[in-house]
Amino acid sequence: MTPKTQEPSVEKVTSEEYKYGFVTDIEADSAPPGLNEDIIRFISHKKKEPQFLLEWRLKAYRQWLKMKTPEWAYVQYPPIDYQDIIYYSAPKAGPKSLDEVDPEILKTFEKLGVPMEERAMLAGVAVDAVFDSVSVGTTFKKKLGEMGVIFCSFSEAVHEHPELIEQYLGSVVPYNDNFYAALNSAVFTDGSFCYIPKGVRCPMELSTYFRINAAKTGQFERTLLIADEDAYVSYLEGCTAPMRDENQLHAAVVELVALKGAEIKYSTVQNWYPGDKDGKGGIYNFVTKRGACRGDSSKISWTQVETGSAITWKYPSCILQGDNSVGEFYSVAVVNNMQQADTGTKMIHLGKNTKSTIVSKGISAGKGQNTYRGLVRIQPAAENAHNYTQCDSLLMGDKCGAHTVPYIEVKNNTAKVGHEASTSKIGEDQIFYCQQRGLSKEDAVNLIVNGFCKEVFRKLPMEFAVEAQKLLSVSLEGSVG
Amino acid sequence: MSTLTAQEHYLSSFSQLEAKLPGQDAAWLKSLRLQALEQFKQAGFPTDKLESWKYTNLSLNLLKEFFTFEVPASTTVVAAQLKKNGFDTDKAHLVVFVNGKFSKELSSLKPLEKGMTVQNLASVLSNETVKAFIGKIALSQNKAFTALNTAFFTDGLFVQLEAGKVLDAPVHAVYVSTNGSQTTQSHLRNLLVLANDSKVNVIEHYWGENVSAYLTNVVTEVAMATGSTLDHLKIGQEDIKGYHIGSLIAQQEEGSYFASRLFSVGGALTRNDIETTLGKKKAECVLEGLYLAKEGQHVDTRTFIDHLSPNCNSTEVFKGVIDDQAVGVFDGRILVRENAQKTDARQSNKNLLLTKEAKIYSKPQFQIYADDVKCSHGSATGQIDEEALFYLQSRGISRDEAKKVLVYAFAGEMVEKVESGYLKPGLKKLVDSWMEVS
Repeated sequence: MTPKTQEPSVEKVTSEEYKYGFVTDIEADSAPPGLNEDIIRFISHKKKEPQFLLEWRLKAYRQWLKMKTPEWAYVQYPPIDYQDIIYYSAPKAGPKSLDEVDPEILKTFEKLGVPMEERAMLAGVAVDAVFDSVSVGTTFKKKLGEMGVIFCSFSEAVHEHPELIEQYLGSVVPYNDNFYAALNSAVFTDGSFCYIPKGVRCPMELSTYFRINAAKTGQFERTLLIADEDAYVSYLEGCTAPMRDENQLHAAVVELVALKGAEIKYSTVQNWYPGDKDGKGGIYNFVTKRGACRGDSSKISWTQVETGSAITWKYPSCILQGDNSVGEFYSVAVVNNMQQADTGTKMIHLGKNTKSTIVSKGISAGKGQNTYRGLVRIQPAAENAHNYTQCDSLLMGDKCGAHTVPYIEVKNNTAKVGHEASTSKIGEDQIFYCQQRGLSKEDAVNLIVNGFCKEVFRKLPMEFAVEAQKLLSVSLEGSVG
Repeated sequence: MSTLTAQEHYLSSFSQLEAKLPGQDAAWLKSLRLQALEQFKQAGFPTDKLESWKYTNLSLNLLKEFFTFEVPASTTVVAAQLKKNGFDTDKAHLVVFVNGKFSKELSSLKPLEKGMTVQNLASVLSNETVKAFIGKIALSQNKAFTALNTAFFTDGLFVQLEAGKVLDAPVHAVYVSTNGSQTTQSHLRNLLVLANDSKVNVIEHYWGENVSAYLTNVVTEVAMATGSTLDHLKIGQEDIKGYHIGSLIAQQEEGSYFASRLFSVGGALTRNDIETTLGKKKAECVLEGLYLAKEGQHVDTRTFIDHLSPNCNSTEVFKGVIDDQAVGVFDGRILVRENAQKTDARQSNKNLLLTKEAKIYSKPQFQIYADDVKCSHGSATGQIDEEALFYLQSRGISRDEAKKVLVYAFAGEMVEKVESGYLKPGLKKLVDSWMEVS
């Protein structure tokens, strides 16, 4: 059979310029490129860290030296020269309040459409904006402080709450967990810290905007979020990045701890620069995200919309230790042009009556490769565990790929584990129907794709859901197939 | 005790055995064996670090134990036993191998019309067809057991059908391992070559009556030309002390239809690799299987369907019942290549765990590089439905009996799917007797 010929109008590929691609020119106080114990000491010294943290970093570094880059994922990229990366870069003057923030930086946020004050006022969102590696501004801190909620940059937390850091850092993602987590543990420069005290329902959605700026600076964020007993928090993480030619490495670690009865909802919209049409440039996003449902009846819910990055390597996971704990994973991953995504989740059931739900929607267009890779493990002690997994893939164009690699390990017969996956092309008949109702082909595709992702979008906080839909249509523009 | 020792044993055994292996006058085979030995040397025995052996840990100490390559065959009455087990062997071409060697006395080969061959492989090694296919479909590279098999195989089934030939009576090949007090191993090689529009039904039946541990390492190569049809059924009824490693590798041309059905009940450790390449358009394959495991059994089934060409269909259904402390593994991979538009691939894996200690590892995978496809897979694992049990009990059926009814309802589906009247009674008995003992 000859390959199906497509209408020319269908074949046109998006040339939409990356909207948020610009470089802010501010002086960075950088370390020389390269990685060794001295650099780690330099970072630790610069950040005036306590001894235990430096030792922990060094331990991680020594472990990292013994580790190898993981190669099992369905992604391909040239080897990374870790000696060619600048591991520390911070805007020189440490701002104390919003007024002191470099106007250049504030302008950048405006270009991004995130006027901090306005956004904070209108949406009631506290923004802890990470610009390069140091936090530049935190709003609503006071209001949160009154309720006992700690929401600050990681460095601040190291100084003000070292006991919490010492207790929880690395307790979910140990420093030797994997190659990138070890690297992050050794060189992380900043990130976010959040602690919700017992019984507190966080009054607003906490949000951090990550942004990669100084050229050639790998960004190593560390996020630690602890919800004490019966606390609730919804946390948003979203990111955009400037257009670049050189690949940028991003190896973040996110750790969540939910104690008895606590609930954490963690939402991500990831829109980093995916590289151009030929796959040049773009962010390497190698992230380790994991949450531990430590206490009984705790719940952790991950929702992600992944549209950016040249390579996404990310498996937000839940360790369901407490009895009756619940883990959820809702994901939309979009790849276009030369993007590659290998993403999924791990649900480790340890406690009794634990439940997990996985809904993964993959969309592949252009020459993109999209892989769902997931693990559901029911340990012998996990009586009456329940898992439901659904992975759907949508293919647009005949050069892209969609792959599903689920691992299901059941060691207790009382478990009920179900996995379903389907892969199909975007329906010609559906497009036709929309078109004869007067919609353009583009709009028809958007409509269908949005319908395909609805289950996941519904889980996002409102303002994110709107953004996510917009992102999706931008990412897929013109790639109808 | 390291891998090396087990590996070294095989390497050194080869030089001793070489002269006794069949095909001494075929130079091509000699060099093929040597090449495979080299490939085995490079690959080494698989460990659980290898993704394809992640859930199956071969005990290397045990591998060393299967030292004896040649054990004289004690007599056994195969046909009578098969009859007792529900297979009416009068209606089949019975080909019997005992400890890796063809047994003429136990076999009953019926006369065949011209253009059809059913033979033991060792007797046809000078045949050009054999030369053309052996080692060409099942590649030894990075596959320790296939390489070992190529180097050491002693015999196996050879079926060849010329264009348009249809062999109505099934070919029932029985591979018996019987070793008394000696640990033993046999390496069997089967070759099935089907020319255009030919059709045949082949049964591979592995069975052991042993008191000691043994290893059966089998490789079956299948070449299917345009429009040919093969109904293949494999029964794994190894002794509880038997280790069975089997590969079934098929290569399909345009419009061919390959059905592979697996019924695995025996063996301490069983590993089955079933692979097919849908090489030309409109080829179709159906892979089905039922694995039943209890006590300390470990049963690992791995399938791979390579959709290389457009308009091909594949259907895959595997079911498992795991009892006691047994472990079941299912790894099903489907690859849809760029060119394979209009592919329709469906896969399903269902497992029933009967006890708390039973374990199942299921890994249904899809790799899809074409867009105009319909692919779906499902995997489900659970236990016997309490409500269904209660219902049956309320109707006066004992709990044990009710359990059996429900297990049979689950497993029996795979028996029902088999259309052959020759096989059905035997398969039913197989499943029934498994449940009786458990």
